[in-house]
Amino acid sequence: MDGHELITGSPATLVDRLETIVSRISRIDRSEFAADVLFREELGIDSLMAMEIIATVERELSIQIDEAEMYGIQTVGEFTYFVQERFRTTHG
Amino acid sequence: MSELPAQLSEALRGWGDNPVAIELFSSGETVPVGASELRRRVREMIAALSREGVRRDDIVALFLENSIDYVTLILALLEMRAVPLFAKLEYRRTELSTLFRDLDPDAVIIESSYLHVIEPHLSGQGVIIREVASAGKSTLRPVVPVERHHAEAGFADLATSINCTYRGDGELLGSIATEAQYRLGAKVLQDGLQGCRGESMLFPLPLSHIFSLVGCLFVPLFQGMTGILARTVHPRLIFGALETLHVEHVTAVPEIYRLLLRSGKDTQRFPALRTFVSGGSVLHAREYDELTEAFSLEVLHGYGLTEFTPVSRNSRGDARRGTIGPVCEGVDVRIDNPDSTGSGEILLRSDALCAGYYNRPQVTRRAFRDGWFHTGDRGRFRETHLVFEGEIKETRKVNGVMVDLQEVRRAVLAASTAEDATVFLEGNAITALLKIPESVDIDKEEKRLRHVLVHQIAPYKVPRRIARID
Repeated sequence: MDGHELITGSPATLVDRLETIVSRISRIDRSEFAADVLFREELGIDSLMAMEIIATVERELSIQIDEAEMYGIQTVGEFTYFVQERFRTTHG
Repeated sequence: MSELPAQLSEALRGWGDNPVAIELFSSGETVPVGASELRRRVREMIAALSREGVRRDDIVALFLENSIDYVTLILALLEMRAVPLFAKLEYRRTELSTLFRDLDPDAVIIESSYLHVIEPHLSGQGVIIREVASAGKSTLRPVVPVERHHAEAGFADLATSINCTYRGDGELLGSIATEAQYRLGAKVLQDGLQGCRGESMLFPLPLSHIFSLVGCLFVPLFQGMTGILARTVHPRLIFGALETLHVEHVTAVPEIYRLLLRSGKDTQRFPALRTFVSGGSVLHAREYDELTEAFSLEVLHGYGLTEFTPVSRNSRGDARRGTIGPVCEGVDVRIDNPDSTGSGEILLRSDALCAGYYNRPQVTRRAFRDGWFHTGDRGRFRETHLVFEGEIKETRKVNGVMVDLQEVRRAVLAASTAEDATVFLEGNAITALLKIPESVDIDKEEKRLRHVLVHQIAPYKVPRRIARID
């Protein structure tokens, strides 16, 4: 699936895709991804893993994410919202 | 008599037109610095540090991100014959308590964002803060002048730097690196790399590691190669830099190469790229094959310790998969008490080994016995090449960074009500198993513990999985 297929998908499809990516890279079950769960402290996602998530999301959704934009993002919910917004502004 | 500062000055005086260093920011922006500009900055830095009271033999702890300022500071401190103590920005209460107790620096130079973490541990040290305004624009702001000078006179004749490490006893140690370490280390790494003047080396590794100091700072400086300090491991930006800056060499840990491998779609588009220098943790034979094939280059994997690096390394034209290369010139290696397969503890002997652990004579005596340094690592020879088989000591590598399992275990026990705990590496993740009553909700306890532990130990040491012992 690439970004263009997702343009026609619902927000729920995008969230589903994001959670699949995060789960695959972090090897954490998706059931743990509540919106308020903290990436680092609660999921134990380290900096290299975070970078792989960013790189994969960029590639699979055809968007660009600057590392600096991620500094303030702490929870799964914040990350999902950020990617949804970036996807919307990139692909309309 | 130290020759290192003179050699470094000479290298900069005879530099060509290529930049000495390029800082690659996480925004993708690049800021280069040439040799004459760097020399000017080093002179100014020496004057500024002297004004603040830094003297020969002082131990100056550096808590800094990679930057051209960091390079300038290292060169300035070496020229002043002060002793840089390379620390990590990730250190928290546990590591900082030991560092300030045992290594007791005279001064600290820190990123402003780190001040609140380090402040409770300061007790009379001189303090200089680095403040960053924007990419490539920063200032050093003196806060407290350096008034204590407690290291022995002549300490800098012995110590070129102090580098943090562990031996699995649960406590941070300061390995005293000598000038011979840096000079021999840089020579043998260059012999294996065969880097040429005008080439460039990109490295996304923190300069607080001795492997990066030797391989990414001194090798390029001595050879006239541009060092590209990547402030990011974002594959898009790394690939962009490899392409636009025509990079010949990369030095990184296997985990970063794995990230690049998994993230690269078109890995054949870097015609200048020649070598990936690898170290810091295990590179499996299969990964070696995948990297050499995907990027069409040579992978030079090696092995070293904070106490001396590199012990062994693969060379261009003679690299072998699954090995850490032949033992380097100037180093003797013996496999202690080998089993039937030839496997045993790796022992070292060299004039360039560290001079012991600062203020820890007993640990030093235990590590240096019978004329050999006991690495605490297991290995064997395969013909002329060494094969690394894992740690005997209670340390493990996570993303190329050493984690002392006993330190983590103690932090876990101190923060929980568990009677006992076992800490180990599972895959690439630190795992803690707790002996804890059935009445405790382990899921809640896991979350609570992680919240507490990120303030107690470096975040990369916090167990990714915390469970109950069955």
